[in-house]
Amino acid sequence: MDSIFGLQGSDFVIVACDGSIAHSILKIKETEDKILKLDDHKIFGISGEGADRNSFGELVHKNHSLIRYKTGAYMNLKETAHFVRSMYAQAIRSRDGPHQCNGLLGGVDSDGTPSLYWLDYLGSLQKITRGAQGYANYFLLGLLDNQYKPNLTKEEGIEIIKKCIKELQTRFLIAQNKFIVKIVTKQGIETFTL
Amino acid sequence: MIDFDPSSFGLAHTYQKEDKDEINTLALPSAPQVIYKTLNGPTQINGGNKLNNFKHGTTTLGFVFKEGILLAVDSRASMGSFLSSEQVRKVIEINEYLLGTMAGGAADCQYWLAYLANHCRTYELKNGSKLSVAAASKFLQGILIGYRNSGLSMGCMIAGTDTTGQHLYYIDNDGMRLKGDIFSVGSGSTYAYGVLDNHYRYEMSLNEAVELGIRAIYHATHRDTASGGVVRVYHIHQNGWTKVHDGIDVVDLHYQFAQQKGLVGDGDEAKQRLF
Repeated sequence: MDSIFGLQGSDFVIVACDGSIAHSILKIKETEDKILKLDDHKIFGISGEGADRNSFGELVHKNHSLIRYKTGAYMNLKETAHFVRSMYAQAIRSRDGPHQCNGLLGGVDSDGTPSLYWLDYLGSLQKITRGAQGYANYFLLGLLDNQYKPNLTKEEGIEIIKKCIKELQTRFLIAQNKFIVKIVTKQGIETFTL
Repeated sequence: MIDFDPSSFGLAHTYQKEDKDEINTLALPSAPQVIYKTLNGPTQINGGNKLNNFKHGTTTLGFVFKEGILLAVDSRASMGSFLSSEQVRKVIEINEYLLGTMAGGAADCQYWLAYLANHCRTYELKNGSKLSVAAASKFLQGILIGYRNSGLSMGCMIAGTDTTGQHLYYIDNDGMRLKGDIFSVGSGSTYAYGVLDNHYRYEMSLNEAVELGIRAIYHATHRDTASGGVVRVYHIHQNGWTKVHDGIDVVDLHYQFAQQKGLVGDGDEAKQRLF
C-alpha cells in the first residue's frame, strides 16, 4: 500500500513517499520516512510491508557502508544499483525467500550526472527517468509520462511531484495525507514534507 | 415428533424405537456448539474477516507529551466468550527506566520482555552505562525478525527514559518497529484512538494526560467486548517510571462519566419505548 514515486531531471533526482503505516484498517503512523539516505548523494525509497522494508533497508545501508570502508572508494550510482540488485537476487531462492520490498534508488554522481533506478523484489533492475512502486504506478505513470520532458529544472520537478501527490489524494482510495519528498542534487540531499 | 438417535449421545446399547417411547423420551434441544478459542481476540464468525483481524483482545495505549510518556492499559483476558481474567497486568516492568505493554500472546510478551530485561542488565554491567530505549527496542526487533514465521504473537510498546529523553516505540511480531508519539494496540485500539486523537495535545499537564489515558481506555472497554476490567496507568519521566493508578474499575468509571453528563448510565438515553 506504500506509494513511492520519483523522477530524474537535468541535474537532480526526486524520490517521494507517503508517510503512512497501516495495520488492517488502522493507520498507525503518518510520518514514517520510507526513503533511506545511503550517503550524501544517494537515496533509496523502499516500499514493502512490515519489517521487510526496515530490515532490507538496513541491510543495504550497512553493506553499502561496509564496501566503502573495505575498499576505500565510494560506489557510484550504477555500481550501487547493481549491488542492491545482487542483494535482491541472492535472496530469491534462499531459505527465507525473497526480500518482500521494492525500491527506487536515485542519486547524483560526483560529476553531477543524476540517475534513477527501479528495483524489484525479485532482482529486476531498470534505469528510468520517471517511475513509481506499488499502486502509485496506476495513478501516476500516465501523469509522469505526460508531464516529463528532458532536462527538467528542479522547480519544474517539484511542481510535477506536487501534481502527483494531488492526483493520489484525489483518486486513490486510501487516504495518504503526508508525503515526504527528498531531492538529491550535486550539493546534497534536501528533505521536505508535502 | 423429533427423531431421537441415541448413539449421538454416547449410549452404549442399541435402542429400538417403539411407539410407547415417543411418550417417554424427552425431546432434548440440540446443545449449542461451544467453541473454545485461543487467547486470540474477539470471537470471529465464519473464520474471521481479514480486515477485522485486530491484534488481540486488549486495549493498550501510550503517548508522548511534555512531561514524559503516559501508558494506560486495560486488564481483561478473554478466551472466545469466556473471560479468563479481569486482573491481568499488561504493563510489564522491564527495569526501573523501561516499561513494556502486552498485547497478543501473554506468554510471548512476558517471556521476551523478561529476556530483554536480562539483556539490558547484562549490558549495563558490562558497559557501565544503561541501554538506550532505541537500542533496547531494536534488540527486541531483531529477535522478533528471527522468529518471524514461528507464530509468535506480540504487539507491544516499549517506553522508557534515557539520556536523550523519553521515547516510545511500537514493536510487533512481524518485526516492525516504529517510533512515534501516539500508539494504541489491541482490539479496542480503534475506539481508544478516537478519543486520543481528539483530545491529545503535546502541552498537556500530567493530570490532563492521566485523565485522557483513563478516558480513552474506558471508551475502548465500553465498546470492545474483549477489553475491560480495570485501567492501569503508568507515567515515564526523566527519573524512571511511576505507577499512577494500579486499577480503576471501568464499571465505576462508566457511572462516573455518565453522572458528569447528568445521565444515569443505563444506556437508555434514547428512551426507546416499544409500545
